[in-house]
Amino acid sequence: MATNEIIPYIAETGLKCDFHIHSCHSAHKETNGLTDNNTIENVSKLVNKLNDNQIEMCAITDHDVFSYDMYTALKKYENTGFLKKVFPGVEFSVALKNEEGKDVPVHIIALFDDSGSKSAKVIEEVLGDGISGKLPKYDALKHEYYSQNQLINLLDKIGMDAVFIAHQKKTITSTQKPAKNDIYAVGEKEFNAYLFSEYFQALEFHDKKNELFNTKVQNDLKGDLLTFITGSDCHDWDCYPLHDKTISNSDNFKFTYFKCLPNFRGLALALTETSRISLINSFFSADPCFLSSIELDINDQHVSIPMSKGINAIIGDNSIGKSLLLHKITNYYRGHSNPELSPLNSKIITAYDKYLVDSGISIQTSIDEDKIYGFDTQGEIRKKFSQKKLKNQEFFKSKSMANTEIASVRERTITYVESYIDSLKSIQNNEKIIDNFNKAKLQIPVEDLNAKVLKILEADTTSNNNEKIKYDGYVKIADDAILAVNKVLLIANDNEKKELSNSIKIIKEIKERYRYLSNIEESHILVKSNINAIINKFNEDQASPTDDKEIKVFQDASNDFAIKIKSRVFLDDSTVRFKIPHLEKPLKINSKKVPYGEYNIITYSPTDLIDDQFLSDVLSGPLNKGCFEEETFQNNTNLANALSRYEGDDPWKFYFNKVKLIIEDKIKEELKMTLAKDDAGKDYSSGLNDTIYFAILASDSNHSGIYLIDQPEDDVSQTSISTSLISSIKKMSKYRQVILVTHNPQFVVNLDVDNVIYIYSEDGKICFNHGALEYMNENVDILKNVADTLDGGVMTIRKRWKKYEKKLDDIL
Amino acid sequence: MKKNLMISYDSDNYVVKIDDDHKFLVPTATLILNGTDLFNALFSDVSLKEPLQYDIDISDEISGSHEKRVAEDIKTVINNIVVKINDEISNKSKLEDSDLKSK
Repeated sequence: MATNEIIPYIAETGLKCDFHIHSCHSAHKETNGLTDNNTIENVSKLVNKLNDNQIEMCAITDHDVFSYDMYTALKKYENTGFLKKVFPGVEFSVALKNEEGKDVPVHIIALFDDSGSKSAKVIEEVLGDGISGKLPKYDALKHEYYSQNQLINLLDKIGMDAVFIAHQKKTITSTQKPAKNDIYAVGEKEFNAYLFSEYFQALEFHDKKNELFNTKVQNDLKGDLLTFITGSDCHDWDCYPLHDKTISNSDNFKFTYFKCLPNFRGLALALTETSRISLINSFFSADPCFLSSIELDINDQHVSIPMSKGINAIIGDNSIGKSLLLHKITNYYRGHSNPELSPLNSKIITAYDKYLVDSGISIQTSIDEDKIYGFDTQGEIRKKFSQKKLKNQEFFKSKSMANTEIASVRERTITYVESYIDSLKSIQNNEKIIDNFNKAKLQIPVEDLNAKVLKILEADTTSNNNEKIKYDGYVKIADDAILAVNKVLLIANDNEKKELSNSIKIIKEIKERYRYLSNIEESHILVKSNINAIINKFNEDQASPTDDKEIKVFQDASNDFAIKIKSRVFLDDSTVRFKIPHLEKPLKINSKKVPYGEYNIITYSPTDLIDDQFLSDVLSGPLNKGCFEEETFQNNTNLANALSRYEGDDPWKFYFNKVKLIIEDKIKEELKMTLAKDDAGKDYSSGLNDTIYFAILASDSNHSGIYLIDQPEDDVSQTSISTSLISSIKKMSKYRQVILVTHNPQFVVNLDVDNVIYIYSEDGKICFNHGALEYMNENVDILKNVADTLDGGVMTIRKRWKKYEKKLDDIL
Repeated sequence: MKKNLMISYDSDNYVVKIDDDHKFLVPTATLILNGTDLFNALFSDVSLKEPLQYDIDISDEISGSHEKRVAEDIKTVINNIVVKINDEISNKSKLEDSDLKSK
């Protein structure tokens, strides 16, 4: 029938489901009238309740009958509210054989595939609708259930794919008598037989109390043989999701979420993969670092490929560009990041870019390097482990947690030692002070060094010199005047000559007077000079320079004496005594453990206890043994002697630096890998191999970012793939987005990837199909792409598909 | 606290008396001041919280010019020690003040 189906490419969240709702068509088995109001007219009432509870996939599953009208009435509401998918379904009562061969009626819900060409109308035609005289025709009239054979015949007549969910009331481990129609009524042995023959794909339970037991059973089974889902088993829509009005609260009921697309293939895949079913809608990592889509243009046509937060697998023929896509969206960063482990080099990058240009492809998406958790390129795992190119300590460091306690204790120890050495230095200085003080003596001069000495002042000749210079100047003026008058005489008349001669006579008299005075001053100077020579000689004889030196020597000695006394006055007696290094409380360094599943990566210090013995050892390290033992170290002499061999201005600093190096060597971060179950904490880090590597990556919830891997199947054995690698990658997807390139169908089907990107060439043009495994439309069938493209794909799909006996040929 | 010192003289020693209690001797024969004796007599019990105040007098009994000069020298030496101690107290006090202000 035509539907409002809008199928997204990938599942981005879980779908809330209820596949166990009864309508009035179950009235033939509900004698108390519980379902009477669940009529086709009241479907809108049910829809409101479903929307209130945000139900996205559901089915009306009446007892042994099917109403096509009821189904279509509900189906009309698909994609109008929360409801995305309504499946046709029936709750069959069928007799299974118990261990004694007796018939035990159990309830099994069948959900049919309505996506094919066959209309669900056929279900009603085969089973009847339970009213209007079309009651179920059980082969044993006295019973109200079908036999196994009759059920198989009916299903064959219906001819539609179906999944089966058995009804569980008690838990497997319950010791109480199984309830009516409970699958466990067949007995544990028969239950297991039905389980392993994959007669049903899931057990439906209602009571929350069963959840804990079911989880345990599921873990014990260690596979996908059995999934547990919940169903409301609502018999009265007015009180949905309660069973009926007699139930007072719904506390014991939780809806189940399915991680799948809202189609039958999605439902079927979810029922065969426990990780797709949960009572909590939490299927994808909360890591904020993820790629939401790959955006590209092919010959100017834009293509947007939505990416799942879970696992994305890129598949396609050889040399179609799968690895190129990984490298291009990571901006070729592996060309420079650990290039020795990566095949990417400049030649390949050039070739990749040329291929993109030639193919008319332009990829716009680019992941920042800091958003990449890791990228194991093609062949890298082999290089890391077979060729031992992975540096273990670097790997463990990248997965470890910084142990700040180590640095803190180291710094505290160094600070203590520095202060201790300072105190030793101070003790030594104090010893020097005391030594100097003990020797301090001052001799008071016997003679008075400051006694006065007689000194005669020299006679001053300055004024005589000045007077003489003045008189000599006057003599010169007179000479100049005589010379000038004589020149005038040559041009004068007789009377004038007479007057001028008189003038010359007067000037000469003046000149002679001053010459006389000059001579007197000169004679005074001569006399004084002679006297001064005598005075000088006398003064030199009176005070010799050696007396000043003696005064200076005494002053220096007095100052030195005073300083020694002052230093002793200020000496703190308490710092004089040597003390053995001692901590009030020893410092303990706890190792820091980061659990990775069954492994722990531990950051520890080789020395984890800092006590007095440790301090004594490190302080003695650069010296002779026993320097810091109390018996031998009563004073600082031993240490001083030991330090005397150090050269340089500050042997204490040299000594401290030596001790500091020893401390830094003993208190430092080291890493080891231990087994979680090994209490002794033995270091297994040298045994790191690909299995442990992936197990650690898988359990890493501490580091954010996307993980990419190119063809992991090339580097690990088939056994490793099936036993550990797939589960590791599946586990890893809980914490981060995974993008992988693969040729191996197991990495697609068994890993149950959330998104397949299939690259292929059509008429010389590169094309992309993409979507969840169950994604299909008129042109695209992802499961078929997987089957066609991957060697062994058909077989791998067949193994999983076989579980619900679907028409494989339709797909393959 | 103020301390009073008196320098006197007998034929064998110059005697430095502190508050009539401690005694410090400088032999006249050698005129040598012994550091340990001087420390023990004058400074071993001083408080370094505040500057020292030492008043040193020379006894009138010392009349000879030589003896007076020696007594003056002894007084100068002791005063020199007191000045140096007080300088250090003052420096430490300044350092403490600046430490307090910086805090």
